[in-house]
Amino acid sequence: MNRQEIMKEATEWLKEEIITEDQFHKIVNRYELKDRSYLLFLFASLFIGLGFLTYVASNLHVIPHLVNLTIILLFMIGYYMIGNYFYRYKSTKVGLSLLIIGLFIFGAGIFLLGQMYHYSYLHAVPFLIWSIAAFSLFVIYKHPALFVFTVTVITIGQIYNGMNYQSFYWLLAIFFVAACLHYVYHEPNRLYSLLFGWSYLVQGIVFVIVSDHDYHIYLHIFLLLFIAGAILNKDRIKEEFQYVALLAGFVFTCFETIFLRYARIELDWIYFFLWIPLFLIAVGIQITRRHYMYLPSLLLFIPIAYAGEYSDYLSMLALFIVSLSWLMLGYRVEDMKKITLGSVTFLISTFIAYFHLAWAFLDKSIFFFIGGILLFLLGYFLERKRRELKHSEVADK
Amino acid sequence: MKKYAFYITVSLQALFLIGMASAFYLMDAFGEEIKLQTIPIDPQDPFYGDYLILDYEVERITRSEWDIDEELSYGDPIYLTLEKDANDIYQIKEVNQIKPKNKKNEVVLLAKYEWFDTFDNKYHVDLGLGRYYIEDNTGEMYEESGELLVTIVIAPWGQKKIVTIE
Repeated sequence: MNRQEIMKEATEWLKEEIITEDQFHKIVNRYELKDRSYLLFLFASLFIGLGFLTYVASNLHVIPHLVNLTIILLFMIGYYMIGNYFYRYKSTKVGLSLLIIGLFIFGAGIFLLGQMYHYSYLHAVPFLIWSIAAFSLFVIYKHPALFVFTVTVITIGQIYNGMNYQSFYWLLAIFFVAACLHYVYHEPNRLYSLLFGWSYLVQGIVFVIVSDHDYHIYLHIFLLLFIAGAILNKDRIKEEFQYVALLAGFVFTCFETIFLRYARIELDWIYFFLWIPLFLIAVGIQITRRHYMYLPSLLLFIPIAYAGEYSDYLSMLALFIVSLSWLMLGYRVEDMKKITLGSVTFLISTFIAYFHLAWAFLDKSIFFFIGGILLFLLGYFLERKRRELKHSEVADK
Repeated sequence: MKKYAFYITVSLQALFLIGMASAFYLMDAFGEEIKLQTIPIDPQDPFYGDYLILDYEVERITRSEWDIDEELSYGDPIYLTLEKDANDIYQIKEVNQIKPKNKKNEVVLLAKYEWFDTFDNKYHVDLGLGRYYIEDNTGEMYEESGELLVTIVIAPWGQKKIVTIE
């Protein structure tokens, strides 16, 4: 709750004489006005950083190479030094912004010198060096913004490597896991786990796109993240890793439901046999920890395409079972986030199923008309149930 | 300790950039120059601006020049042995998975296997010298000039760079 909201609420309490004037001030003063001035500095650093990158993209052949090198070095060292001074003695936010500009200049420097001196690489080496520099600064300052910067550079580097070299940059991936996972595990910050999960997912997608593997290897990638979350077994890691893995599994199953009917997939059974132990581990962990309500979610990781002719119907069924299980779990543990997730995924599942089953048979206007009514009714019931729970939560408090 | 760690990190970054420049100038002193034949085209790279894509003749290898029995995957490292022809241009002599010893009038280059093209019946490899950065909007000039002769320098430490394009 922010200061404005609590002020509005507390004014009512004051009018109803629930609290005294003194208590009113004490309550309101607990919620300090948020200082958002750092956003200006953050955008300023972003703009200057982008300025350097565009400076790289434009040509500097008119200026002698060594002059360019000197300019880059002077700016980079200057920003780092002033940034470090501000961070330690004046303002953390201004200091951090300047340090980030220094990092941008270093990255731009690698690209600019690479261009000037005609460097060619077999991989996205500049991104690896850049991410190592960003990570080193993160280790020194331990500021989340530098962790975000590191993971962003690694992720973009992997995408760039995939697009330009049509390969997966293992060294970058190994650095990502070795360096970032340590801090994901030891630092009590949920953001780190979530960022790690998303970056892992994006890198996994790049891996599948550039390799010759069967598309079902996606499920192995999702399952590995899910299992990693379970094994690391800290709430902030488990929840975020499994959230990313399950969401990816859900989107994947949606695509399967839509496209399996049209796609002719040649299945390589080796992937199926590799999948079995992973899936058994995931199931085993849930059973040994007595998390039975989480078991239906694992349906999203089953390679349904191997089921053959009716696989699209089975994937549709999986979507319904999983989204309903999320909804039920949400109501059981009375968690609004889970209920919202369950409701949204249930609506998506219904829409996909309806589209998949009825599109070919019904007249198009009737199709949309009935579809609209169906979604409206579903939305109405789910929303009513959600409101009931919210009211009961408020009443309990 | 953290204070020193900061200065060490910044110094290493500066040294890395200086090293990039130094290696370039040192290659001229210690490297070996060879000439290769190419055909360029001109795309745009989001991170670098204008550059030429150079398609080297030695990156297209016939079955008779290919000495590797094993089936390779995309990206596997291979070594190309090049030898000088009568026009002082280097041509492919043999291809190996293990680095062979350098002989007189021969150079060995590290390359990356890409694929076998059934259309021209040749193995495609990548030398890692496929890009040459040029001033913006000058790509067409090179493109129109057709086949180009590229002079590259190979440093004793394995690094290679393009020196001139003519």
